[in-house]
Amino acid sequence: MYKDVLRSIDGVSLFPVVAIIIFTLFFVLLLIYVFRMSREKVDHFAAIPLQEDADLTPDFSPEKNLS
Amino acid sequence: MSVTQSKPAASQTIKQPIETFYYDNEIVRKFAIAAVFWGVAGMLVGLIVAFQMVLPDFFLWDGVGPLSFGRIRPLHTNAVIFAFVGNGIFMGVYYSLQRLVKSRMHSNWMSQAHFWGWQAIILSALITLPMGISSAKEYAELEWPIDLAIAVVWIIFGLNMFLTIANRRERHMYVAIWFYIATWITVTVLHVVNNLELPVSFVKSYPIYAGVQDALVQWWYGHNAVAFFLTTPYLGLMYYFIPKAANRPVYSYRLSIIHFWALIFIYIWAGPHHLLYTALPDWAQSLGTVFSLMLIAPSWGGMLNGLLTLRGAWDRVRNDPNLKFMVVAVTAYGMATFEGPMLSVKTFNAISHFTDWTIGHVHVGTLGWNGFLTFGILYWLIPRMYKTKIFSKNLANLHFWIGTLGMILYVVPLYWAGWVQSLMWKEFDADGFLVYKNFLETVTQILPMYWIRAIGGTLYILGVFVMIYNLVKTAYQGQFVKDEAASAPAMAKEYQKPKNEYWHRIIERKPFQMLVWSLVLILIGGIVEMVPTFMIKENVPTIATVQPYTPLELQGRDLYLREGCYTCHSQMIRPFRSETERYGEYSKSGEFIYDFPFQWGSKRTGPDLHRIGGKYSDAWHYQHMLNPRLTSPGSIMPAYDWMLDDVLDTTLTDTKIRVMQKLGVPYPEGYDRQANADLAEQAEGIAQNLAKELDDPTLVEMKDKEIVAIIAYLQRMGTDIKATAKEE
Repeated sequence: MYKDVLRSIDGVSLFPVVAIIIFTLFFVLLLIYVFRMSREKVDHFAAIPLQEDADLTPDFSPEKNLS
Repeated sequence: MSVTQSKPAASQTIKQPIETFYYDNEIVRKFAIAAVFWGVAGMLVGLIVAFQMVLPDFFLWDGVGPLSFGRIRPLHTNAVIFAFVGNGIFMGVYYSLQRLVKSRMHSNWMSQAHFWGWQAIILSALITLPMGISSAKEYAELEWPIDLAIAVVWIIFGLNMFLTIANRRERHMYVAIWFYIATWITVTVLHVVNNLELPVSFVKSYPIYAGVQDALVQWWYGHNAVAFFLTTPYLGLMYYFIPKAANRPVYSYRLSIIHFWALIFIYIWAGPHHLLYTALPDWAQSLGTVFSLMLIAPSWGGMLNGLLTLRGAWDRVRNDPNLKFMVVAVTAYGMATFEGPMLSVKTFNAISHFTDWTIGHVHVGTLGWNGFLTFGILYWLIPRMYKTKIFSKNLANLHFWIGTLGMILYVVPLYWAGWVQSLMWKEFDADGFLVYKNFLETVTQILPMYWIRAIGGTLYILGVFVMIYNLVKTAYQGQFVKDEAASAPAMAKEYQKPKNEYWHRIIERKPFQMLVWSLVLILIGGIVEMVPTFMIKENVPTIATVQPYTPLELQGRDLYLREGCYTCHSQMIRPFRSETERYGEYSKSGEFIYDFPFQWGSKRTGPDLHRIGGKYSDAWHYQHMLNPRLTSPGSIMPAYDWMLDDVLDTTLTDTKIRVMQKLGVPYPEGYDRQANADLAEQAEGIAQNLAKELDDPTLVEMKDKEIVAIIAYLQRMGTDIKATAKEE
């Protein structure tokens, strides 16, 4: 059955291979990018969720309320 | 007011005027209330079905169908997934998205339409599922008009989200938003592909796929519903709310980028691990196993990223109940995502599949990961939106402990039950015969475990009631901030690209590109699985004697779907000696070509039914449906006595035949006009049999009742292949 299904589709065996190549290329590029990101930028991005309490919502600081 | 003077990347935008705007907390509160409300409802239904497994008549009245296990088990799963977790997702997304992009939701109107539309869909599920209006595909049971409504509401949600992102004041899209975008686009694709169906009436449809093909599409959907409804949006919430609750940035932002892309790519391939040892082609099964194993890497990367965010703050975990909930949630995620790949290994799967192990596994995910993360977020969110402290930390701790205990009491007995039952199914004596020939013996053996599970579930839900009391008291002592003021500089219209900007930064800046790339990545996996699947239709080895169902059998099959028989019975005999010995010849893919939808099932609370045809007399089935305890003392199956009273609805027989013809079932031209005559003749025959076998002439009157249709279907099931043997 395995072979019957495969035979009927031209080049189906290439499907997973092509897919994995696309992903590996993407993944390698991603790794290169990720590790070349500057420390400064990474810190800024990581701090985005914490910004509003610190200085953008001056009239409401939850930290004070949940002691 | 000081504004981001120390933030390095804000230096480009500092010249922009500061704008004041208001976050919409009202919509967040609405979704929070809905999540808790439907959570309780969904868990209560879960509790009812848990008790029905030990007390078959629990919550049932004679002759009343809507509350029987097969109908409300789908209600439980749909309510918990789409109502509890669904509203939980929207609560978290609406809160975090506004703050991450520093902008109010784009449209109040869309937010409200999304909210009320989603609740209306849940309400329609609450009405239709107990009525037996079901397309009988797990977690996609809702019928086509509701499917359309889901699509509309989902698109409103997406539009509102994308327009909000487009109006943002923070150029970088924080990683949580990527998870939201990937969730949205993938769920859209899954929902559409799995729910392609041809309507028979307003409340009945047949899927366009049959048998093996339907099984692959369904579990591609089922698996990825877990991935992209129960996992990715909650990972987004984890990346926002754990840093918030711990008041420190995520452990590694770099890791979160890798986590995101690897996870969404690999997840989509793993669906076939739900179909190991079935009639699905081998290559697809292997694909599912390999990608499931690979999935450990990004899953655990994400889990560690969440847990390590608490580095140096573990002392606070001791004090903050919300952090306790979050830590247990992420740990449960880690356990479930380790266990999942293990259960995808064929050796383990041969033991675990169709048993309670699977039920235990998914409840680590839902009770632990989704439940506890939702509770942790609620304990953090409600006091903030009401500008107050939590009413009682002690009560929150109490909730945490009884919830944790409930979860352990739920999960551990089911693991135990799963392994015990599976080993009993497979045990042979010295002469090579099955030790437990009667399936029922293996069920009664594990009933004590079902009792403990029901107690665990009760504890868990008691914890939720403690939380509700605590949160209501919190709300009363505070003052709700409907529109929360915030200010930020506008985002510069002209963006000065840094000179050596990398390609990925461009994606991060552009929500639409993020959507397209996420789509491309999930489609790669989808297409590789699907294209061969769609070709399979022509390539499933045909078995000459496999014929379309007769009209009466087709009607009987629709009753099988209506009653949700698939929630307890599989129709898939795996090629193990223990199964062929117990049930008969193993299932072949060619036997299912007229099954719209497939009914292989995923759990055997009762025995497999694929070779039930001809095994017992018509009279046996009649008595078994009247009261299963008559034929099988100790059985936990509910009675289906209403089938003996209710007249079979034959008004749609001709339409059903025509729809089947459109789907490629080779009924002769014009057969729709003759179908009901054939149906009556076959029904008459079965009724005569019943009268003769039970020595009761009045049973001839059963000929127009539903019972004869379900008997006809059960007696047909899996018999076509035996005709081959006779011919030879």
